[in-house]
Amino acid sequence: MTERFEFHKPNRALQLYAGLFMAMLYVPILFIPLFSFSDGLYIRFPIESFTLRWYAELFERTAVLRALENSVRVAVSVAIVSTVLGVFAAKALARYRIPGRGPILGFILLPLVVPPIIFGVALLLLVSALKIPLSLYTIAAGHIIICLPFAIATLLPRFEGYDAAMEEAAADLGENGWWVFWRVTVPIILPGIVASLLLTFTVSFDEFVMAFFLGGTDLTLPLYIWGQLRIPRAFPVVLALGTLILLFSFALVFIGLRIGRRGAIKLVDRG
Amino acid sequence: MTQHDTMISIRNVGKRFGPVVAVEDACFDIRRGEFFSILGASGSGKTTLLRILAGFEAATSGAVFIDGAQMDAVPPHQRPVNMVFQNYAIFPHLNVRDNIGFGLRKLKLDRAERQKRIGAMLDLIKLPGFGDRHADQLSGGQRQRVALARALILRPKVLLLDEPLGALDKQLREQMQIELRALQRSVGITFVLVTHDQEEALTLSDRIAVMADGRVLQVDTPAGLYERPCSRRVAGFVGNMNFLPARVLSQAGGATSIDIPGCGTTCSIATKRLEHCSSDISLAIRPERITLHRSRPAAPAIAVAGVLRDRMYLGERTHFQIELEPGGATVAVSSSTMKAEALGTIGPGAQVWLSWPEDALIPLGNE
Repeated sequence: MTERFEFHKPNRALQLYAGLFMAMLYVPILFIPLFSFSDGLYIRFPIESFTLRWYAELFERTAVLRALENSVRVAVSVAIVSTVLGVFAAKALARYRIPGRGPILGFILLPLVVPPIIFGVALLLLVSALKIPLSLYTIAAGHIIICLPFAIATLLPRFEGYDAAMEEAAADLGENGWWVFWRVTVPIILPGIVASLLLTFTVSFDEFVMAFFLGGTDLTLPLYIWGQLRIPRAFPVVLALGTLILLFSFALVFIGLRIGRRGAIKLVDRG
Repeated sequence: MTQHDTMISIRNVGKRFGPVVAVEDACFDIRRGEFFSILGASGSGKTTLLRILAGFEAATSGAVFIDGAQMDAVPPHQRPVNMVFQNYAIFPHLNVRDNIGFGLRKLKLDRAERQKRIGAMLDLIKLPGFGDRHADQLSGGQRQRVALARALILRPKVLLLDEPLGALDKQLREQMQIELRALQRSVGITFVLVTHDQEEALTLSDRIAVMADGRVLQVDTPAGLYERPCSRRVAGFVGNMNFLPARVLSQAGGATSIDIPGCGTTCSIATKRLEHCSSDISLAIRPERITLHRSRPAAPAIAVAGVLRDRMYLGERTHFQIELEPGGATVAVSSSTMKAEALGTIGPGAQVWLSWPEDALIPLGNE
């Protein structure tokens, strides 16, 4: 009996490679939650005993809660502002015949690849030249620059994914531009809006470099963690905090992607 | 035609997109309560003209009047017209009821009146009980009906339809044609339909405007277009047509004698039928006006000999291709299959004779 040729035959070596690849990506991160449950002050194997006391200690520190509150305030504002701006930009890019659309889109998405440190230094120079005091507001402004490309990249496919005749139909049925936007455009792109809010929130919440350059005396969570790293005693608490941030960020991005994708599949089904 | 009979008046309307001329000097009227079609191939400007009526495109020149009011400065949401879009544009986030009731917001109806009107539309389009269905649970034909109901619920003066049957398969399309015609009669609203399908235009319309390359070639009834096309392009576009090269020989006593070189014969046509033509003409003849014979017929004086080249069985009708001169152009003949069978089993290569009544020849100028 001869062996049958199978085009999509599973390949052991490639499977092994894929497994190793995933391990390289995520195993280092797993050390953070692992050691956050260790009773010792220092990172070493084997872990002697497990404890939840670092988590308990975490919630007793008012500085942590203050930093958390600051981060949430910045991230929520940034998410809302960059998503609203993103909706307008994506609608313009998808709906109007704009000369030089390609280069414009490129410039809009450029902050995705420009190192934040460049933007950070540039904005710091600008802000100090204008004598604007560093605060949570300056951090938020920096974050909006970073988050806007994420918002547009999430929203643009939603606008391109539905027939512009929908908006014409609404106008034809008696609605002016504003009502067409509320009654047709917003409901159709809603999954994209939610996905953009979640994604930009996460990006802002975790961002360090811009916050480092543009922050004043009020610290965001990543800045607080950076400050604590110099204190060995505080390290396990930082690990506990890091674990919580990790879980929270994963959850948000996961939900955001799911909502975005579900919307996309529904559009395809509709034909 | 009095002012009162005119619903839409299109006055010298032109539209350019940069250097491209989409519509050139369109000028015709559409009557109140009429089922009017704009027929043309893709790129003929028919959809642009419809979008100018709806207000989605602004005409570069000329003016549009609807029910006596000039429309050029009126935005789409304030025009007394509603449209059925090519892909129906059913709102995906709303169910059937809310799609149909979309335009009612401004009327500020109470709940009961709103539901009553939507219910009446669901009955009209024969989809009672479909109100709670979601847009993605509808078939193509059902979506088309919902799009119709959504537009008609506002009782517009004019309903615009942009290739509304194009997305449906043949059988459903024929059924929807009958329903569309009946619907138009029952609501009494002026319908303006854009289509590339000449059969659809002929079946549905009271009158048709034929467009090509942005120009309106002829506005006439279906019978008028079919029997009295004003140019070769219209004649070729509406139904099948044979064109025979012709040469004017002489005029005498209201009749003109014309030589048909390809047939080796001459014919005589009333001079007044040649009025709109230049001296350079062709004669057009519909394939079904030609009679096929196996031997030279005794009765009509004009009979042309030819050789059968091809025979196609189409069910109710049978089509023949006849070569008049060796290596020359062929003439299409369409005969009912019953008559074709009476001719017996003639195949390619057989010698045949063609005859036609003199009024079947349509003189057309060669532009």
